[in-house]
Amino acid sequence: MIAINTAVTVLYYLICAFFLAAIAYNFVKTRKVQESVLYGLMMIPFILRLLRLK
Amino acid sequence: MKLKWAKIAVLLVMAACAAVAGFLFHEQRVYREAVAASPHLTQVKKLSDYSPAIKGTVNDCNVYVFDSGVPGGTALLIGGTHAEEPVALVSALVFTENLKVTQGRVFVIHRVNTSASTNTRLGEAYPRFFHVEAPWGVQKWRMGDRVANPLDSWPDPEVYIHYPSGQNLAYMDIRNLNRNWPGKADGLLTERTTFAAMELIRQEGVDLTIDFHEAELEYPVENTIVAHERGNEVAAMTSMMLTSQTFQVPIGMEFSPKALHGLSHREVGDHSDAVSYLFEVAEPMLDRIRGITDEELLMSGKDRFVMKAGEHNLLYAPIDESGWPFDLRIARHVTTAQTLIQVNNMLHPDQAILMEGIPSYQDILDQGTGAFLRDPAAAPPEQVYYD
Repeated sequence: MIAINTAVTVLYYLICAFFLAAIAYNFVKTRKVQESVLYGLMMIPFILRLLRLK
Repeated sequence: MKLKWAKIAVLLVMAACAAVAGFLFHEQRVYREAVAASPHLTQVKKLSDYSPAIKGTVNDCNVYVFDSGVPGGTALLIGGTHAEEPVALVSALVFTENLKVTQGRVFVIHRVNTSASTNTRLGEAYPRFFHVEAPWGVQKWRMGDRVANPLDSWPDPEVYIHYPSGQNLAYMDIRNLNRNWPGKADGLLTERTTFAAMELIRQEGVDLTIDFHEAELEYPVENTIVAHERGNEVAAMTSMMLTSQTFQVPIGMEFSPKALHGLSHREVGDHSDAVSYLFEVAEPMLDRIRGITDEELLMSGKDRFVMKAGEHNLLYAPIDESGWPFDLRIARHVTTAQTLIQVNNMLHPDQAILMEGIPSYQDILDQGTGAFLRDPAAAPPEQVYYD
Protein backbone atom coordinates (compact mmCIF):
# COMPACT_ATOMS: atom_id res chain seq x y z
CA MET A 1 0.00 0.00 0.00
CA ILE A 2 2.80 2.39 0.94
CA ALA A 3 4.71 1.52 -2.28
CA ILE A 4 1.61 2.16 -4.41
CA ASN A 5 0.96 5.47 -2.66
CA THR A 6 4.58 6.52 -3.16
CA ALA A 7 4.41 5.68 -6.88
CA VAL A 8 1.14 7.60 -7.31
CA THR A 9 2.61 10.57 -5.45
CA VAL A 10 5.69 10.65 -7.69
CA LEU A 11 3.46 10.50 -10.78
CA TYR A 12 1.31 13.28 -9.35
CA TYR A 13 4.30 15.57 -8.96
CA LEU A 14 5.48 14.75 -12.49
CA ILE A 15 2.02 15.67 -13.80
CA CYS A 16 2.12 18.91 -11.77
CA ALA A 17 5.51 19.75 -13.26
CA PHE A 18 4.24 19.01 -16.76
CA PHE A 19 1.22 21.29 -16.37
CA LEU A 20 3.33 24.03 -14.80
CA ALA A 21 5.71 23.87 -17.75
CA ALA A 22 2.78 23.95 -20.20
CA ILE A 23 1.23 26.96 -18.49
CA ALA A 24 4.59 28.75 -18.36
CA TYR A 25 5.06 28.07 -22.09
CA ASN A 26 1.65 29.59 -22.84
CA PHE A 27 2.48 32.53 -20.58
CA VAL A 28 5.59 33.25 -22.63
CA LYS A 29 3.90 32.77 -25.99
CA THR A 30 0.67 34.70 -25.49
CA ARG A 31 0.30 38.16 -27.01
CA LYS A 32 -2.64 39.16 -24.78
CA VAL A 33 -2.14 40.82 -21.40
CA GLN A 34 -5.38 39.34 -20.03
CA GLU A 35 -4.25 35.81 -20.88
CA SER A 36 -0.86 36.39 -19.29
CA VAL A 37 -2.64 37.39 -16.05
CA LEU A 38 -4.74 34.22 -16.28
CA TYR A 39 -1.69 31.99 -16.82
CA GLY A 40 0.13 33.75 -14.00
CA LEU A 41 -2.69 32.99 -11.56
CA MET A 42 -2.90 29.39 -12.77
CA MET A 43 0.76 28.78 -12.00
CA ILE A 44 0.48 29.62 -8.26
CA PRO A 45 -1.16 26.36 -7.00
CA PHE A 46 1.17 24.24 -9.13
CA ILE A 47 4.21 26.01 -7.69
CA LEU A 48 2.92 25.53 -4.13
CA ARG A 49 2.32 21.84 -4.79
CA LEU A 50 5.74 21.25 -6.32
CA LEU A 51 7.36 22.97 -3.34
CA ARG A 52 5.24 20.75 -1.05
CA LEU A 53 3.85 23.78 0.72
CA LYS A 54 0.24 22.79 -0.01
CA MET B 1 7.76 46.31 -25.23
CA LYS B 2 4.51 47.18 -23.42
CA LEU B 3 3.53 43.46 -23.35
CA LYS B 4 6.93 42.49 -21.96
CA TRP B 5 6.59 44.88 -19.01
CA ALA B 6 3.03 43.73 -18.39
CA LYS B 7 4.23 40.12 -18.18
CA ILE B 8 7.03 41.08 -15.82
CA ALA B 9 4.47 42.85 -13.62
CA VAL B 10 2.24 39.75 -13.69
CA LEU B 11 5.16 37.53 -12.70
CA LEU B 12 6.08 39.83 -9.81
CA VAL B 13 2.50 39.89 -8.48
CA MET B 14 2.22 36.12 -8.93
CA ALA B 15 5.51 35.55 -7.11
CA ALA B 16 4.37 37.80 -4.26
CA CYS B 17 1.06 35.92 -3.94
CA ALA B 18 2.83 32.54 -4.03
CA ALA B 19 5.37 33.73 -1.45
CA VAL B 20 2.72 35.01 0.97
CA ALA B 21 0.57 31.87 0.62
CA GLY B 22 3.63 29.63 0.85
CA PHE B 23 4.85 31.41 3.98
CA LEU B 24 1.45 31.04 5.68
CA PHE B 25 1.22 27.32 4.86
CA HIS B 26 4.84 26.71 5.88
CA GLU B 27 4.48 28.66 9.14
CA GLN B 28 1.61 26.45 10.29
CA ARG B 29 3.41 23.29 9.21
CA VAL B 30 6.61 23.96 11.16
CA TYR B 31 5.36 25.94 14.19
CA ARG B 32 6.48 24.24 17.40
CA GLU B 33 4.18 24.28 20.43
CA ALA B 34 6.00 24.75 23.72
CA VAL B 35 5.04 22.63 26.72
CA ALA B 36 6.26 23.65 30.17
CA ALA B 37 5.75 20.31 31.87
CA SER B 38 4.94 19.81 35.53
CA PRO B 39 8.04 19.44 37.74
CA HIS B 40 6.65 16.03 38.63
CA LEU B 41 6.95 14.71 35.09
CA THR B 42 8.99 11.52 35.15
CA GLN B 43 9.96 10.99 31.53
CA VAL B 44 9.13 11.96 27.96
CA LYS B 45 9.11 9.13 25.46
CA LYS B 46 8.36 9.04 21.76
CA LEU B 47 5.55 6.99 20.29
CA SER B 48 8.14 5.22 18.15
CA ASP B 49 9.68 3.83 21.36
CA TYR B 50 6.77 1.39 21.27
CA SER B 51 6.78 0.62 17.55
CA PRO B 52 9.27 1.47 14.78
CA ALA B 53 6.29 1.70 12.41
CA ILE B 54 5.95 5.39 13.20
CA LYS B 55 9.62 6.36 13.46
CA GLY B 56 10.71 9.23 11.25
CA THR B 57 7.16 10.42 10.55
CA VAL B 58 5.46 13.63 11.66
CA ASN B 59 3.19 11.55 13.92
CA ASP B 60 6.05 10.31 16.10
CA CYS B 61 4.67 12.41 18.96
CA ASN B 62 5.79 12.94 22.56
CA VAL B 63 4.42 10.69 25.29
CA TYR B 64 4.54 12.40 28.69
CA VAL B 65 4.95 9.92 31.54
CA PHE B 66 4.02 10.51 35.18
CA ASP B 67 5.12 7.52 37.24
CA SER B 68 4.59 7.71 40.99
CA GLY B 69 6.69 4.63 41.62
CA VAL B 70 3.84 3.35 43.81
CA PRO B 71 1.97 0.31 42.43
CA GLY B 72 -1.46 1.13 41.09
CA GLY B 73 -3.31 1.63 37.84
CA THR B 74 -2.21 3.17 34.56
CA ALA B 75 -4.17 5.70 32.52
CA LEU B 76 -3.53 7.11 29.06
CA LEU B 77 -4.99 10.53 28.19
CA ILE B 78 -5.17 11.22 24.45
CA GLY B 79 -5.47 14.70 22.94
CA GLY B 80 -5.24 15.82 19.35
CA THR B 81 -7.08 12.97 17.66
CA HIS B 82 -9.02 15.59 15.71
CA ALA B 83 -6.93 18.74 15.48
CA GLU B 84 -9.93 20.97 14.74
CA GLU B 85 -11.14 20.18 18.28
CA PRO B 86 -8.55 22.19 20.22
CA VAL B 87 -10.08 21.69 23.66
CA ALA B 88 -8.92 18.07 23.41
CA LEU B 89 -5.33 19.25 23.05
CA VAL B 90 -5.45 21.86 25.82
CA SER B 91 -7.29 19.56 28.25
CA ALA B 92 -4.46 17.05 27.93
CA LEU B 93 -1.98 19.90 28.31
CA VAL B 94 -3.58 21.06 31.58
CA PHE B 95 -2.72 17.63 32.96
CA THR B 96 0.86 17.66 31.66
CA GLU B 97 1.59 21.11 33.07
CA ASN B 98 0.01 20.60 36.52
CA LEU B 99 -0.08 16.92 37.34
CA LYS B 100 1.52 15.14 40.26
CA VAL B 101 0.78 11.41 40.52
CA THR B 102 1.13 9.89 43.98
CA GLN B 103 -0.04 6.39 43.09
CA GLY B 104 -0.04 4.60 39.76
CA ARG B 105 0.97 6.05 36.41
CA VAL B 106 -0.49 8.51 33.90
CA PHE B 107 0.61 8.79 30.27
CA VAL B 108 -0.42 11.88 28.28
CA ILE B 109 -0.32 12.50 24.53
CA HIS B 110 -1.22 15.99 23.27
CA ARG B 111 -0.96 15.55 19.51
CA VAL B 112 -1.61 11.95 18.61
CA ASN B 113 -2.28 12.98 15.00
CA THR B 114 0.29 15.76 14.68
CA SER B 115 -0.04 15.75 10.90
CA ALA B 116 -3.67 16.89 11.16
CA SER B 117 -2.57 19.99 13.05
CA THR B 118 -0.34 21.18 10.21
CA ASN B 119 -3.17 22.28 7.93
CA THR B 120 -6.75 23.44 8.27
CA ARG B 121 -9.92 22.10 6.71
CA LEU B 122 -10.13 22.87 2.98
CA GLY B 123 -12.65 25.53 2.09
CA GLU B 124 -13.71 26.26 5.67
CA ALA B 125 -11.60 29.39 6.31
CA TYR B 126 -10.47 28.20 9.73
CA PRO B 127 -7.95 30.29 11.67
CA ARG B 128 -4.45 28.79 11.46
CA PHE B 129 -3.68 29.36 15.14
CA PHE B 130 -5.53 29.97 18.37
CA HIS B 131 -4.37 31.71 21.52
CA VAL B 132 -5.05 31.62 25.26
CA GLU B 133 -4.21 34.50 27.56
CA ALA B 134 -2.23 33.54 30.65
CA PRO B 135 -1.03 35.73 33.53
CA TRP B 136 2.47 35.68 31.99
CA GLY B 137 1.49 36.31 28.34
CA VAL B 138 -0.20 34.51 25.48
CA GLN B 139 0.14 30.83 24.58
CA LYS B 140 -0.28 29.92 20.90
CA TRP B 141 -1.18 26.62 19.25
CA ARG B 142 -1.88 25.34 15.75
CA MET B 143 -5.55 24.99 14.79
CA GLY B 144 -5.79 21.98 12.55
CA ASP B 145 -8.02 19.73 10.51
CA ARG B 146 -9.98 16.60 11.33
CA VAL B 147 -7.76 14.41 9.17
CA ALA B 148 -4.04 14.08 8.49
CA ASN B 149 -2.36 16.49 6.09
CA PRO B 150 -2.40 15.15 2.50
CA LEU B 151 1.28 16.10 2.32
CA ASP B 152 1.90 13.28 4.81
CA SER B 153 -0.63 10.70 3.60
CA TRP B 154 -1.81 10.69 0.00
CA PRO B 155 -3.60 9.54 -2.11
CA ASP B 156 -6.69 8.27 -0.34
CA PRO B 157 -8.28 5.02 -1.55
CA GLU B 158 -11.61 5.12 -3.41
CA VAL B 159 -13.13 3.31 -0.42
CA TYR B 160 -11.34 2.98 2.88
CA ILE B 161 -11.53 -0.60 4.16
CA HIS B 162 -10.91 -0.72 7.88
CA TYR B 163 -8.43 -3.25 9.21
CA PRO B 164 -9.13 -5.83 10.63
CA SER B 165 -12.95 -5.60 10.46
CA GLY B 166 -13.23 -5.05 6.70
CA GLN B 167 -15.85 -2.36 7.28
CA ASN B 168 -16.18 0.11 4.39
CA LEU B 169 -15.77 3.77 5.26
CA ALA B 170 -15.52 7.05 3.35
CA TYR B 171 -12.27 7.57 1.44
CA MET B 172 -10.94 10.43 3.59
CA ASP B 173 -11.41 8.40 6.78
CA ILE B 174 -8.12 6.69 5.98
CA ARG B 175 -6.61 9.96 7.32
CA ASN B 176 -9.06 10.23 10.25
CA LEU B 177 -7.20 8.79 13.23
CA ASN B 178 -10.41 7.89 15.02
CA ARG B 179 -11.44 5.55 12.22
CA ASN B 180 -8.12 3.69 12.19
CA TRP B 181 -7.86 1.94 15.54
CA PRO B 182 -6.34 -0.58 16.19
CA GLY B 183 -4.13 0.15 13.18
CA LYS B 184 -1.53 -1.92 11.40
CA ALA B 185 2.24 -1.71 11.27
CA ASP B 186 2.51 -1.64 7.47
CA GLY B 187 -0.50 0.61 6.82
CA LEU B 188 -0.74 4.28 5.93
CA LEU B 189 0.24 7.04 8.36
CA THR B 190 -2.81 7.02 10.65
CA GLU B 191 -2.96 3.21 10.70
CA ARG B 192 0.67 3.08 11.77
CA THR B 193 0.03 5.78 14.39
CA THR B 194 -2.81 3.89 16.05
CA PHE B 195 -0.81 0.67 15.83
CA ALA B 196 2.03 2.35 17.76
CA ALA B 197 -0.46 3.74 20.29
CA MET B 198 -1.92 0.24 20.75
CA GLU B 199 1.59 -1.06 21.33
CA LEU B 200 2.03 1.62 24.04
CA ILE B 201 -1.23 0.49 25.65
CA ARG B 202 -0.29 -3.20 25.51
CA GLN B 203 3.38 -2.87 26.52
CA GLU B 204 2.69 -0.47 29.42
CA GLY B 205 -0.32 -2.45 30.66
CA VAL B 206 -2.64 0.55 30.46
CA ASP B 207 -5.87 0.04 32.41
CA LEU B 208 -7.95 2.85 30.94
CA THR B 209 -7.73 5.27 28.04
CA ILE B 210 -9.50 8.61 27.68
CA ASP B 211 -9.77 10.14 24.20
CA PHE B 212 -10.76 13.85 24.34
CA HIS B 213 -13.03 15.26 21.60
CA GLU B 214 -15.43 18.08 20.74
CA ALA B 215 -18.57 17.86 18.63
CA GLU B 216 -21.01 20.09 16.79
CA LEU B 217 -24.36 20.67 18.49
CA GLU B 218 -26.09 19.16 15.46
CA TYR B 219 -24.44 15.83 16.24
CA PRO B 220 -26.35 13.42 18.52
CA VAL B 221 -23.26 12.13 20.37
CA GLU B 222 -22.82 15.26 22.46
CA ASN B 223 -21.78 16.16 26.02
CA THR B 224 -21.26 12.54 26.83
CA ILE B 225 -18.89 9.73 27.74
CA VAL B 226 -18.81 6.96 25.15
CA ALA B 227 -17.70 3.80 26.90
CA HIS B 228 -16.57 0.34 25.94
CA GLU B 229 -18.88 -2.23 27.56
CA ARG B 230 -16.26 -3.05 30.20
CA GLY B 231 -16.44 0.57 31.31
CA ASN B 232 -20.20 1.04 31.46
CA GLU B 233 -20.41 1.08 35.25
CA VAL B 234 -17.59 3.60 35.65
CA ALA B 235 -18.96 5.85 32.91
CA ALA B 236 -22.52 5.70 34.26
CA MET B 237 -21.46 6.57 37.79
CA THR B 238 -19.21 9.38 36.52
CA SER B 239 -22.09 10.76 34.47
CA MET B 240 -24.49 10.68 37.42
CA MET B 241 -22.02 12.28 39.84
CA LEU B 242 -21.10 15.13 37.51
CA THR B 243 -24.66 15.79 36.39
CA SER B 244 -26.03 15.86 39.93
CA GLN B 245 -23.18 17.71 41.65
CA THR B 246 -21.08 19.75 39.21
CA PHE B 247 -22.26 20.43 35.66
CA GLN B 248 -25.13 22.76 34.76
CA VAL B 249 -25.61 20.97 31.44
CA PRO B 250 -25.79 17.21 32.08
CA ILE B 251 -23.18 14.83 30.76
CA GLY B 252 -24.54 11.52 29.51
CA MET B 253 -22.98 8.15 28.82
CA GLU B 254 -23.39 6.04 25.73
CA PHE B 255 -22.53 2.49 24.83
CA SER B 256 -19.83 2.06 22.21
CA PRO B 257 -21.61 0.43 19.25
CA LYS B 258 -20.19 -3.04 18.68
CA ALA B 259 -20.57 -2.85 14.91
CA LEU B 260 -18.97 0.57 14.43
CA HIS B 261 -15.29 -0.04 13.87
CA GLY B 262 -12.16 2.06 13.90
CA LEU B 263 -13.06 4.28 16.86
CA SER B 264 -10.96 4.32 20.01
CA HIS B 265 -13.85 3.54 22.36
CA ARG B 266 -14.48 0.29 20.47
CA GLU B 267 -11.13 -0.95 19.23
CA VAL B 268 -8.86 -0.12 22.18
CA GLY B 269 -11.16 -2.10 24.46
CA ASP B 270 -11.45 -4.96 21.97
CA HIS B 271 -7.73 -5.27 21.22
CA SER B 272 -6.15 -4.70 24.62
CA ASP B 273 -6.84 -5.10 28.32
CA ALA B 274 -7.51 -1.36 28.64
CA VAL B 275 -11.02 0.01 29.08
CA SER B 276 -11.60 2.77 26.54
CA TYR B 277 -13.59 5.97 27.01
CA LEU B 278 -14.20 8.91 24.69
CA PHE B 279 -15.42 12.31 25.91
CA GLU B 280 -17.46 14.78 23.85
CA VAL B 281 -18.24 18.42 24.60
CA ALA B 282 -20.18 20.97 22.54
CA GLU B 283 -18.26 23.21 20.15
CA PRO B 284 -20.46 25.54 18.04
CA MET B 285 -17.62 26.28 15.62
CA LEU B 286 -17.96 22.75 14.25
CA ASP B 287 -21.63 23.23 13.33
CA ARG B 288 -22.38 23.43 9.61
CA ILE B 289 -24.82 26.28 10.12
CA ARG B 290 -22.34 28.56 11.92
CA GLY B 291 -21.54 32.11 10.88
CA ILE B 292 -18.05 33.59 10.51
CA THR B 293 -15.47 30.93 11.35
CA ASP B 294 -12.85 32.83 13.28
CA GLU B 295 -10.90 32.59 16.51
CA GLU B 296 -13.56 34.64 18.31
CA LEU B 297 -16.14 31.93 17.60
CA LEU B 298 -13.69 29.20 18.58
CA MET B 299 -12.97 30.78 21.96
CA SER B 300 -16.40 32.25 22.84
CA GLY B 301 -18.53 29.41 21.50
CA LYS B 302 -21.18 32.01 20.65
CA ASP B 303 -22.90 31.97 17.27
CA ARG B 304 -26.28 33.52 16.48
CA PHE B 305 -27.07 31.01 13.72
CA VAL B 306 -26.42 28.05 16.01
CA MET B 307 -28.49 29.77 18.70
CA LYS B 308 -31.34 30.22 16.23
CA ALA B 309 -31.20 26.50 15.44
CA GLY B 310 -31.37 25.87 19.17
CA GLU B 311 -34.50 28.01 19.46
CA HIS B 312 -36.13 25.67 16.93
CA ASN B 313 -35.03 22.54 18.85
CA LEU B 314 -32.77 21.39 16.03
CA LEU B 315 -29.75 20.70 18.25
CA TYR B 316 -28.65 17.96 20.64
CA ALA B 317 -27.20 20.38 23.21
CA PRO B 318 -28.61 23.57 24.70
CA ILE B 319 -27.12 26.93 23.77
CA ASP B 320 -27.98 30.48 24.84
CA GLU B 321 -26.31 33.91 24.84
CA SER B 322 -23.53 32.50 27.02
CA GLY B 323 -22.47 30.12 24.25
CA TRP B 324 -20.01 27.30 24.95
CA PRO B 325 -16.84 29.21 25.89
CA PHE B 326 -13.41 27.61 25.70
CA ASP B 327 -12.87 27.61 29.48
CA LEU B 328 -16.18 25.83 30.10
CA ARG B 329 -15.31 23.14 27.57
CA ILE B 330 -11.86 22.67 29.12
CA ALA B 331 -13.35 22.57 32.63
CA ARG B 332 -15.80 19.84 31.63
CA HIS B 333 -13.14 17.63 30.04
CA VAL B 334 -10.59 18.03 32.83
CA THR B 335 -13.20 17.44 35.54
CA THR B 336 -14.73 14.47 33.74
CA ALA B 337 -11.32 12.82 33.41
CA GLN B 338 -10.53 13.38 37.09
CA THR B 339 -13.92 12.11 38.21
CA LEU B 340 -13.80 9.06 35.97
CA ILE B 341 -10.41 8.08 37.36
CA GLN B 342 -11.72 8.57 40.93
CA VAL B 343 -14.74 6.39 40.19
CA ASN B 344 -12.47 3.78 38.63
CA ASN B 345 -10.40 3.87 41.83
CA MET B 346 -13.54 3.06 43.84
CA LEU B 347 -14.74 0.24 41.61
CA HIS B 348 -11.29 -1.20 40.84
CA PRO B 349 -9.02 -0.52 43.85
CA ASP B 350 -6.24 -2.57 42.27
CA GLN B 351 -6.09 0.08 39.50
CA ALA B 352 -5.94 3.08 41.85
CA ILE B 353 -4.42 6.27 40.45
CA LEU B 354 -4.06 9.20 42.84
CA MET B 355 -3.49 12.63 41.33
CA GLU B 356 -2.78 16.09 42.71
CA GLY B 357 -2.41 19.54 41.21
CA ILE B 358 -5.22 19.42 38.65
CA PRO B 359 -7.54 22.45 38.85
CA SER B 360 -11.17 21.91 39.75
CA TYR B 361 -14.12 22.70 37.51
CA GLN B 362 -14.84 25.92 39.40
CA ASP B 363 -11.16 26.94 39.43
CA ILE B 364 -11.01 26.79 35.63
CA LEU B 365 -14.29 28.70 35.25
CA ASP B 366 -13.25 31.36 37.79
CA GLN B 367 -9.62 31.86 36.78
CA GLY B 368 -9.61 30.77 33.15
CA THR B 369 -7.53 28.08 31.49
CA GLY B 370 -4.58 30.44 31.15
CA ALA B 371 -4.13 30.51 34.93
CA PHE B 372 -3.14 26.83 34.75
CA LEU B 373 -0.65 27.08 31.93
CA ARG B 374 3.03 27.50 32.74
CA ASP B 375 5.30 30.00 31.03
CA PRO B 376 7.77 28.07 28.83
CA ALA B 377 10.16 31.05 28.88
CA ALA B 378 10.29 31.05 32.69
CA ALA B 379 10.35 27.29 33.19
CA PRO B 380 13.66 25.46 33.65
CA PRO B 381 14.87 24.35 30.19
CA GLU B 382 14.82 20.69 31.20
CA GLN B 383 11.05 20.98 31.75
CA VAL B 384 10.28 22.51 28.35
CA TYR B 385 9.30 20.27 25.44
CA TYR B 386 7.88 20.87 21.98
CA ASP B 387 4.99 19.20 20.17
